[in-house]
Amino acid sequence: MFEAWVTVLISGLAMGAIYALVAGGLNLTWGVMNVVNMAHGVFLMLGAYITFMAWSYWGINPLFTIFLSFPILFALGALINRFLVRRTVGLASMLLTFGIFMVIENLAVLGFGGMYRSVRFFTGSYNLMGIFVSKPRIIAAGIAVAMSLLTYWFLKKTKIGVAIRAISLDRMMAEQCGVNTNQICTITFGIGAAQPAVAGSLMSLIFAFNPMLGRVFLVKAFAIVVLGGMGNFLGALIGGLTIGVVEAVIAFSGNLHLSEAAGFIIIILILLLRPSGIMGTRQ
Amino acid sequence: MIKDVARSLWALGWIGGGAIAAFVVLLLVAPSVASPYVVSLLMAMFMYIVVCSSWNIISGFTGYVSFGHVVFWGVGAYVTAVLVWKFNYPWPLAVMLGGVGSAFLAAIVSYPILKLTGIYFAISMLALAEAIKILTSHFRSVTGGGGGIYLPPMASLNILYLMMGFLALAVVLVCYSITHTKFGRSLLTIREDETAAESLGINITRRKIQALILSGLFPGIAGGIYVMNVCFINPATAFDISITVNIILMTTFGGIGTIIGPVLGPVAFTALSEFLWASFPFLHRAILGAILIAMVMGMPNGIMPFMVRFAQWVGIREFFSRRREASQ
Repeated sequence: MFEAWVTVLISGLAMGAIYALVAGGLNLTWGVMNVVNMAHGVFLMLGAYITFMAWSYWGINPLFTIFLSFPILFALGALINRFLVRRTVGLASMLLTFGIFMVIENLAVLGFGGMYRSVRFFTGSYNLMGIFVSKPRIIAAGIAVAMSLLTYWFLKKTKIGVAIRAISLDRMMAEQCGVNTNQICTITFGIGAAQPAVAGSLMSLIFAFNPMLGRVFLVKAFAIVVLGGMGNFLGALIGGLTIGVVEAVIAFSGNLHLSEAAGFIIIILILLLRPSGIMGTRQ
Repeated sequence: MIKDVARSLWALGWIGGGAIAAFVVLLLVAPSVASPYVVSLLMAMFMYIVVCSSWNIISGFTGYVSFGHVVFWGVGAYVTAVLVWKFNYPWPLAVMLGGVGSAFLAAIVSYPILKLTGIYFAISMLALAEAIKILTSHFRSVTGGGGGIYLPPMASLNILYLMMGFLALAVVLVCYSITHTKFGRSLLTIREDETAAESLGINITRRKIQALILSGLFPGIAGGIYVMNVCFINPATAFDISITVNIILMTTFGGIGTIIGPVLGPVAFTALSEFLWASFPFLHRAILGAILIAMVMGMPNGIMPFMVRFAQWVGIREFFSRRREASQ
């Protein structure tokens, strides 16, 4: 029984690491630009399809396809920001990005078809003294954590990262100090699109997907961001891991539907009890 | 309050009264001259008028933009379906109880959820809708689970169509007359400045709760009528986020915070989406998305600025202007 629980815990943590990557991108656009990106789900789906295409047509190792999905979605995100999102904030941006979601999802169904695809590259699982660890899950989780930490380092140490954080603190002030806010916001939205795309690439290794993949994450990612505290970059990582584990534990107790609902119930509870999130500081 | 409502209805005058009479006549005549397809289309339009006007009470008048209003519609539909399916209630009673059910849900969630503002309120409403969708799939014994509920056809299309039409009329009149009461003006004040409203002696918590309950009641009834017509409901249709987005899209197009906006929006969009559906069966969702993008970018205030100019010209500004307490 103990081994079973540890297996569930590891599996939940692995999924949580990927959730954290999705939420990280959302957190960035929300915290820095005050844009609630409803389209992050389709960025994730596009990432998954890039991996699938590269692997099935050109036989590229799926792990290397993240070097494709990151720049492609970075460019797409930057373009979307440059021409559309930049001009809106708050609730208008929610509607706008939902429009983008509808367009891209519909076009994806037309282009890719509605059938399920999967990238069967890593299969099987490791057995460590009765604790089973699924190979694709643990590899994907490792990359996801590395990617999250890399972003964290980028935000803390590089010049652009400092500029991004300055904008999230006070946009006007940052502009006064000579930060080119429009340019930095475009980069931010690019990263905010590329991070879910990498998560999507990793997810394609774990389970089958179709163009509706993004829908699952439409609200779940918000739950993670709210849980971790908006604009808090480590918070998103911890929030993601928490939701991953909570879902896995509830699902293991035999309640698949309730595990899906867990995220939404957490979002409401956290907003009511501790609106600044578990890692946030009260304003 | 009743005096205010009576006075506001009296203030409709000849133009308003004539418009209502014309609407009622058209409503009664339509089924005997138009095909069932047109009647169904009109019914869908009336449904969106009901839901948009209700959304407008909490989001347009009070300023709390709800991103999960479909939850009230879905709960109303489910309450009606379950009462008819499990407990053999007569369907008109079940439809009314559907409205009671959704208003009850609004009452339960209102106190905690209305403490949040802006985007946080929007997202928690979204989460509420998603949570209820999943819980509906989960409690299989009550709700029939993810497979949904099938009902035998009980009421004829024409009767349901008339109910929906009169409900739409009633909701629009309610929206119109509450802006003439103390209650409605409190909501407008809350939208403009919550702190100022409170310092003027308005019990803002209570007013907001009342607004949310009122705005949850009508979609529930509309959902009940819808489910009696379609005879099928499942969680994916009942709590579909696209319906919420349609509501926001239509009302924004027509004009948020106006009386006539939530009527014009559905009329325009039902026609448009029907046309798109018929002409581009594979692309209509993408085209709707593109329209949504174009609208947010191009005309964030909808068609209202043009309409107001037209209305001023005709001289019936009352209906069109964005409600402000100062204009009363």
